[in-house]
Amino acid sequence: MTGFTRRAAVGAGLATGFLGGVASAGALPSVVSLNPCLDAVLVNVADRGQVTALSHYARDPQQSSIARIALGYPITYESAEEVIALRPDVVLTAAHSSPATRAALTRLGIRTELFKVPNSWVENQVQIRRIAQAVGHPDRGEALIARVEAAMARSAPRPGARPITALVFQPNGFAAGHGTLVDEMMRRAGFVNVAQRYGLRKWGNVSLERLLDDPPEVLLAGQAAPNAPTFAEKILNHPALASIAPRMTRAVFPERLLYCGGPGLVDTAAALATARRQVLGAAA
Amino acid sequence: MTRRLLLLGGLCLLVLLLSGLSLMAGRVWVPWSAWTLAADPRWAIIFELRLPRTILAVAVGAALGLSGAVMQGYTRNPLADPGVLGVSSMAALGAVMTMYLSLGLTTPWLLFAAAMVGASLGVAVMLILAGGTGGTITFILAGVILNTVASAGVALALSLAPSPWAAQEIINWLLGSLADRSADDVWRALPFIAVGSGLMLMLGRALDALTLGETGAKALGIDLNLTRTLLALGVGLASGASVAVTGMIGFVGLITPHLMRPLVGHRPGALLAPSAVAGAALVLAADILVRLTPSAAEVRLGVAMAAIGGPFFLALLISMRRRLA
Repeated sequence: MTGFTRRAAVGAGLATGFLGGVASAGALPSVVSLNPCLDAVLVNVADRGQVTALSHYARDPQQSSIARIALGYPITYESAEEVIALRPDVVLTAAHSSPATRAALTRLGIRTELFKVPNSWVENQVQIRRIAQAVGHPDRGEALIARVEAAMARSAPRPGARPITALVFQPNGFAAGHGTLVDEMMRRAGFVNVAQRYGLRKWGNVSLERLLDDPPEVLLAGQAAPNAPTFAEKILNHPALASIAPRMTRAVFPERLLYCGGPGLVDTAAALATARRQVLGAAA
Repeated sequence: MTRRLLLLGGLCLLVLLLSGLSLMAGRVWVPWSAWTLAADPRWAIIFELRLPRTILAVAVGAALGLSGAVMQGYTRNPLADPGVLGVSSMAALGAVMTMYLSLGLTTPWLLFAAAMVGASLGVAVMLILAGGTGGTITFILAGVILNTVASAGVALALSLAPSPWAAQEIINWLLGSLADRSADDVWRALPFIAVGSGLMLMLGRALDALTLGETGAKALGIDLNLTRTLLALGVGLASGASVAVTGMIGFVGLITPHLMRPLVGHRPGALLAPSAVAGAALVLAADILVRLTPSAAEVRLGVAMAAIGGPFFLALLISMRRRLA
């Protein structure tokens, strides 16, 4: 088959391309990220020159914690064509991306690093270290981890403070249950996630009825997007919620803090600390 | 006869022309020098990404166009399309289950295999439900039931999705796309599509005879049970394999036979080959258009197909009404 020799030739061509690129960038690999969560870690651990492109989600202020920074970076729309044309050494991609695109990149011999959704801070640390290792700056990965841990320590409750029951409440009643990174962050900030009370396992929607029946002390509510009163967001400001307002504090918890770990956890920790102070007062 | 050959030749030429365009169209402009120089990384964009995509567009388009022509001929109903048989939905259900269970993260062939298992289950159920003495009506009703049940299964998987990302992945897949397909996908789907299309092309005489009704066809010596079995197998293999690599792409099977009917006359047997080639041209054209639209992420092929197909169908309907009035 000529196909094989041709493919080998492509591989060789790509390899020489890499070597050339590596030599000019001072032996540090160039990286393309195809996922907004990985984008946020990448811009924190890599040199500007190493980041060949971020994902297009990175510029969306609703979803991304680095929307402003991302404006200064090129982006791709997750197509293999764009990635190949950029000739990166490493591609960072997430488990729920298009399987066809991942398979195409693997076939073409481009090193792809696959990341699952982190379910705990430990898992997230492993990912941060992997990304930092891939870009050749392991020290910056450790620095980022230290920064997040410092933020967690700042937002931790005083010893002996009583735990507060809380529930994440996003458009459509979407909430995070046990075994998620948000759940761990809540615990570290002195909350008890009561999603299980409403029949939730890992991720899912909490019905308004069950919430009204047995409200938590704090509702970590998302903010309705400006000028976008969608059906899903109406539930956040449902009139029925007013009836339990005296028994339940409402704190701001933007939806973008829900999914990604990495540097976004600094904001998550701060938002949770603010919510705790809202309930317990400045003493907490 | 010469007119039909002329039409087929013209359509083939159109497919060739569009194939050339399809190799050139995309997000990245690849200069001519890269086409011949295998050492240029952009060579891979043409031959490892766009070539498989083009071949798949032709194969899937042909499979869907042919399936549509066969279904409309068999049911003697101009509204039938491959989806009516329920096999596409069963294939989709199989594929969605792998995403729901987060399988196939490192084994890309699993999705295809699951979709084909779904499609074959669909064909088997069809043949059991409508086999034996059942007429055309039983067959269609069995298909509608299967379609409904499979669609409900897909909807259930969506609403019970374990995480928002899994749900997003399922939706993206269901909308149908040819983006970044590789030669592996071609090798997986092509044998099934070829065998299925071969089976369907054998049905021409039976479909012509069926225009006289079932008793008329029987009088002409057509074995209706054999026809039904070949049809279920042919449509099942071809459209099942298509769904397995691209996701759901609607409208092609429905409109292609209508496009060809004014050109070849109202004999369903004569409609088969032109519908296959026209289907290929249609999907290729839509896939090129999808890549050239200057939107953020690529528009899904299934969506584009419906967006183009809808108004087109309307124009066809209006002109037909004028002719009939």
